[in-house]
Amino acid sequence: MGTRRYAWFWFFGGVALLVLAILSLCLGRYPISFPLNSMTSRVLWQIRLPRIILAMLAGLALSASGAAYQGVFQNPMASPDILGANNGAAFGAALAIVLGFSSWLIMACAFAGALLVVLIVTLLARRMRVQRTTGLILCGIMVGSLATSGTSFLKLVADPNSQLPAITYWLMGSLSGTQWKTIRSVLIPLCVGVTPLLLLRWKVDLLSVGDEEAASMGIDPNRLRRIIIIASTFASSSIIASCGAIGWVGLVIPHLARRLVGSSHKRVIPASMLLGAIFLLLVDDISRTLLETEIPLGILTAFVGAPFFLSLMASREVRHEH
Amino acid sequence: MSIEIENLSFGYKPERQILQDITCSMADGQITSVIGSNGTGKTTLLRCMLGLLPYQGRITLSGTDLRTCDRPRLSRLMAYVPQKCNVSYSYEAIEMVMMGASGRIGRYATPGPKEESEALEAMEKIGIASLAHRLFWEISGGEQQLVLVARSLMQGARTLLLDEPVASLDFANQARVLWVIRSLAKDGYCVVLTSHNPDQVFRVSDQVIAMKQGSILRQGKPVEVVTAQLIKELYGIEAEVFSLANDTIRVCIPKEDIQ
Repeated sequence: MGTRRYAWFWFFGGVALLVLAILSLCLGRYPISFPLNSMTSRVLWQIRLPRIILAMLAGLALSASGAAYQGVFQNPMASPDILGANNGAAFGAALAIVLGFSSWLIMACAFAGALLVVLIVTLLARRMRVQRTTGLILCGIMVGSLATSGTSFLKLVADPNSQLPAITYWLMGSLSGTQWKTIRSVLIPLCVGVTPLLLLRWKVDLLSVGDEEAASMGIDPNRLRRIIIIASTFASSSIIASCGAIGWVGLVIPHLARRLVGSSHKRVIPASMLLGAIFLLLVDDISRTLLETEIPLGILTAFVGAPFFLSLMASREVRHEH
Repeated sequence: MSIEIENLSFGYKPERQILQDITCSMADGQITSVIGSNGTGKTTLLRCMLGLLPYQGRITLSGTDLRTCDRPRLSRLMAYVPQKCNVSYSYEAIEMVMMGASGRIGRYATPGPKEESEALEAMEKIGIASLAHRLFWEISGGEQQLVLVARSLMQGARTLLLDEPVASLDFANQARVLWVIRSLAKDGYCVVLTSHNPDQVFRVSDQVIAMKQGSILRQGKPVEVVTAQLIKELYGIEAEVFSLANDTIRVCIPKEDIQ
């Protein structure tokens, strides 16, 4: 893909994101009228703006992690939850809800649960007598299933009137109730995760040609893979912990980015971030305006993501990739 | 630059050595072919030279012990071309070539216009510049192999290690890749390649190293080393070596086929 076309992609993408963000400020059940009074000003700056920013950050982080995971695992079907981070976060959050913790502790437990599961998976994968990426994927499936069983058990013993609905709602993902302090708590782990992904994005290309070739070209593939996995996990877990399990974004958006900017991760990762921010902001706008009650994000992302992915699987590119 | 290998041994387990006491040298501007039957240690030798396996003994490149080089430096000294490259995504040929710059540009850098023009230059040098923006998995096997050769040139290394570079190619593509390899040797590159095909050794090599069960059986000029007796010892079949075109080229044919 030519440099000029890539520049146009950023121009149009940037304009689209800006217009959508401004539009999102005006969308909602409470009508905005000018000049602003104290109530509209509060709705705009204290409720809608933090939510819009978190939607963009969530889309950005989940898509960047998905693109990085797909590169590292040389598998176009990989997504941020391939190592069980989503399942671990769900277990952590469910446990915190059952134990009656505050919303901040629920977030912290979800984050810790995601990191813990990924840590266990990477440690277990070292002992597996299969190819390293295969070992990671298999361990991710197994440990993730264990965490899911734990969550199911917690749902069984949770108070059906208060705790069970809270767990179920958390599992579907939502941005409602976002405050400025939510963004402050997300921002540090998100930056810790996304910065290495941006700095090392081109080197991800080298991992997708195989370890021996990558090593002969001057990189340490195991070390690079480790850094990318840790960074991606940090970025996606910070979002899962604050917004709940939002599926499909990390799987679908990198494929869309590849269609638009080519396959090199030098461009795929930043492009996924822009597209992910646009996508999740759009989905969140739909989720809070379509019906009287807010639709959980996870449901909408699946509604959009699954058909898109099916059409993608039937297309030429993915057939090649397999 | 020349490679000196002294008493190189390697085994995944101490009791099962794959390479035993290999001592040989490879000179600049020459093509050295390593031949031998399957599982005899040819590829393992290349992997040791690339620093991918923990060998015993010493490998030096113009006097520099390769053990003292970190990965980026080693990649600037020695480049590897695999038999086949399976990529997971649809990279353009020029993107594949630019990967060769990873050992030369900074740890966090991404290739820019300078690297892109260098990659084009490398592709031009071996006559594949027209493929620059074609998808790697949509070009032919021979063209893919040439893209990988261009990538090795992009590394800036003057020593090229090629693992059975034409094994999976058709006749025309084999010839094309071998011509490029020969022209690189003429330009002063030190080329080491592994091969199964004795005829190919006669066509391109200045030196041949014949390996059997992890050791060097014989080494020297192809016309002196590759004889009917060596074929019998290496592959266990009777063959005859014929000379053609006033002994400028030789071919090996199994005796069974002649009868």
